[in-house]
Formats: sequence, C-alpha cells, structure tokens
Amino acid sequence: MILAVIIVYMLCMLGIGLWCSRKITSDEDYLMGGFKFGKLPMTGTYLATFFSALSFLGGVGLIYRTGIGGSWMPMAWALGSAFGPIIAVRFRRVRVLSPSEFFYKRFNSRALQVIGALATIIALLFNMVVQITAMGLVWNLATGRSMTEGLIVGVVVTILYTFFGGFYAVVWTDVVQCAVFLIMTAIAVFVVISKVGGIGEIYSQAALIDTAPEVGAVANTQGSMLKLLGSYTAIGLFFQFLIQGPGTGSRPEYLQRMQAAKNMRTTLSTYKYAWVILIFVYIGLNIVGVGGRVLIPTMAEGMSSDWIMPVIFTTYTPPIVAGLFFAGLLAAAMSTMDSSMVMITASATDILKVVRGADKEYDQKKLTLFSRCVIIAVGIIEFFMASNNGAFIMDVAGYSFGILGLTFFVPLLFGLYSKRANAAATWACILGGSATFIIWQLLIKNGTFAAGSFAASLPPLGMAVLVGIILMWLVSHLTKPMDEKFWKPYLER
Amino acid sequence: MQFVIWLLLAIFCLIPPVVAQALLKHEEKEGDPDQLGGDAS
Repeated sequence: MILAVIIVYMLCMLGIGLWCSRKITSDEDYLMGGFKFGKLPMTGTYLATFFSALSFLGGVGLIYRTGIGGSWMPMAWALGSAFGPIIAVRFRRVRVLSPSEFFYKRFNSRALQVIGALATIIALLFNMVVQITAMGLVWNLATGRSMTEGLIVGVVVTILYTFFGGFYAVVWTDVVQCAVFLIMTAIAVFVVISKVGGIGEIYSQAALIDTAPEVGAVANTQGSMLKLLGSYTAIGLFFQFLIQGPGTGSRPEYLQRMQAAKNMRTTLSTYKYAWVILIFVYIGLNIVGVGGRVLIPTMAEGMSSDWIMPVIFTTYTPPIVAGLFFAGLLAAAMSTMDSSMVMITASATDILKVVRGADKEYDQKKLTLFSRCVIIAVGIIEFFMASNNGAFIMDVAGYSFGILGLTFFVPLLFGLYSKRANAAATWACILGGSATFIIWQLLIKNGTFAAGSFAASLPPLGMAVLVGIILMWLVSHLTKPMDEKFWKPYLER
Repeated sequence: MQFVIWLLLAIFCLIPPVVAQALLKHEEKEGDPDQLGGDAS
C-alpha cells in the first residue's frame, strides 16, 4: 500500500511536469517561468524549497534527542530570512536570470559573475547529495527495498519533471508538495497529542524523561528535555545564528524566486504568508519531537533518533496515511533538489554566455536545449556523488549554506545599499572570507588553537562571514566608487 | 517552559513578515509595488 501511494504520487509529479512543458517558449520561461508567478505559487514554492526532508528527519530528531531547545535553528533561519525582503526590494529593480548575473550588472565584472555562478554550482551540487541520500533512506524505510533503487527513482522522477517543465514545473510541483507536507505535519501533531493525552501532558511527561534517546547513547537527565537552550551554550548559539542566518537570507534559490514573482507586492507578500505558516509548522514540529519522545522514550536498536517521525506514522497511522507521509518526505527532498537543479542550470547558462560572448544574440531554443542537457548531467553527477557519499562530500554539504552566505549575502547587501560598493571590495570579501575559513579550520585541526580554548570554539564559517563584512566595508571605503550608472538603478528610483 | 519556546518561535518567525510589510508600505508610498519590476516595468 505504501509503495502504491508513493508511485501514484510520483506519477502526479511527472504529469505536472508534462503539463507545464506546454508553457515554455523561451529560456526565460524555462529558467524563470516568464517572471509571472502570483502569490499562491510563490508562497508554495518558497515553503517547499525552505522545507527539506531534513526538517522532518534531522530537525525533529534533534528535538527528540535534546528537547525543546532543538527549535533554536528555525529561529536562526527566521532571522536570516528577514534579510530576504530587504534584499528583494532592491534586487528586483533590475531583472536578472540568475543571482550571479547581478555581480556583472552591479559590479561590472564578468570574473565575479563566473565566481558567483561557480560557487552556486559547487555549493548546491554538494547540498543536493544530502537530499538524495535522504530520498534513498526514506525509500528503503518505506518500502523495504534497496537504498540505491530509491536514489534512482527519486533522481529520475525529479530530472524528468524538471527536464520537461523547467521552473514552471518546479513551482507547481512545489505547491502540491508543500500542501502534502503541511497536511502531514498537522496529522503528526494530531496523532501525538491524541496518543499522549493532551499538549500539557506531553510536556509534563517529557520533564520526567531520564532514558537515552538511542540504544548506547548518553541518557537525558530529568528536566533536560525542557531546558530552553537545549544542548547549546550561549556563545555556540550566537555563532550558529551567524553561520545559519546569512546563508538563509541570500540563498540563490530565494533570489531566483524574488525575481520570478510577477511584481514587488507578490515578492514581499511571499515572506508574509510563508513565515506566518512556518510559525505553526515549527511549533507543530516541536510538539511532534517532544511528544514522540514521550511515546517512544528510546528508539529501537540500530534506529537513529532522526527517524522518529516516520516511526510515529508507521506505528500509529493506517498504511495509506503512512504512505502519504513517506510521499511527503520524498516531496520535501525532491522540491529542494529540483530548485537546486534549475539554479545550477541558470548558473551554467551564465558561464556559457560569459565564455561565448555575453552580448551575443542567442537562439532561445538552443539555450533551452542546453539547460535541459545540464539538468540531465546534474542528475547523473548527483547519482554518483550520492552513491559514494564519503565524509568529504558530507563535510562540504554542511558548509554549503556558509559558502553561499559568504559569496552572496555580504556583496548583495552592500551592492544594494551602498554607493561605494565595488568589484574590488567584493573580491576582498569573497577571497578574504574564504581564506579566513580555510586558515581557521586548519588552525583548529592541527591543534594551534587548543581544544576547548575560546578560539577553537569559534566556528570557521562565522569568522569568515565577520571578516567578509569588515573587508567589504573597508575596501569599498579605500577604493574608488563605481560610475553611478552601475549603482543608480538599485539605489535610486 | 514550552510556552516560552513557542513564543520565541512565533516572535522570530514574525520578523520576516513584519519587515516585508514595512517595506511594502514604503513601496506603496514611494513607488508602485504592482508594477512588473525590473527592466520590464
């Protein structure tokens, strides 16, 4: 039954992709949906892109293990996302097909444009591995079939609907996927509350928990599930905000959506609707994580605590609902993956245009064909990366938000709000920030910063973002500002 | 304590909508948020 529900769901996604393919007449349609999306599709696609499979697995798992303090991460993302509308309100003043194109239009530098595109491609390629791996694991848990089979099915379906329908298909499948996982969150909250016997009961019973979340793990102490900071220290939390925030506010997928909305009102309204919905989602997931711990104090042997939500569905709901939940989990992974695919394609198109002559007139049909070929290539690369996901890939994937934050967040904010921002300052920010990250990382690894010391507790990416901000400000004030034709379209009406 | 974390979640998650609303109001005063935007406006 679970497998049947998942297959029907996948077929629906393919159907949407084929239906959307009729609307594509140019590369602008393929990569940006013709810049015509309204509030419903924009809110749906924003939410679906924001919510990855990891939110239901790792996110709820963290709350299951550490208690209510596991909900600090969404707060960091919320704070970072507040920069979204601040960036959008000026970023939309000039139309671009990819965020890296902004580097050329604002800083008049093709080299920066290529660096922006390459950073996007690398960060998203690694980030997608996590989603695809999650897809394989979900498939394995839901159907009992092999993980590799799950990788193949997930990647092929996502490639197919993205290949045919481009950004149109990404947006409309996102709307469906968003609806599915919102319903699944609501069902999970309902199941947990009804099984434990009320919300108050969940938290009062959680206060008494003194078992280990997993077999062999350290046991919680009584009361620790209700500790406000959870497993974080105050300074650690501050740096988590610094690492997670900027990347969230300026990820290329969101910049792409800011541009794709039909007007400014739609772009700004997306943030209003999406984040009000997310309040209920995150409070709901807090209830599910803590309630799940009350229902199942220790996970079965060999089972990670990240699997608490799937376990709740398979244990307490009928197979058809559990099937829909697994489809929703795959949906969350697919929607994050399809957005990354289109974004990588837009960045690759950017590089192609720089290499072959940016001012040339391009045949739209040939550009769309190129974009579709890139989608297939990305799918194949991802499959092999996910099949051999070593520690290195997972390490880089963990840093991908930071890479994007470093490349886009600081240059975007300065470029959109300061007349003095220029190409030299942007280079200083990106190179100086990257060097800080590498050096700090090495100093921690080779023991120069003693383990447990204050310097070793400062995360390399947090330091890189700080150095990037300082360098961007300093160099933009020490060097000549750019001609007003570059900053005026953004800074003045 | 759960109410504190819920309240904090609600406050943080309301920051993006509040910022977006303030910018929308500003856009309504200074420009036309219903225009297409970008080069195409």
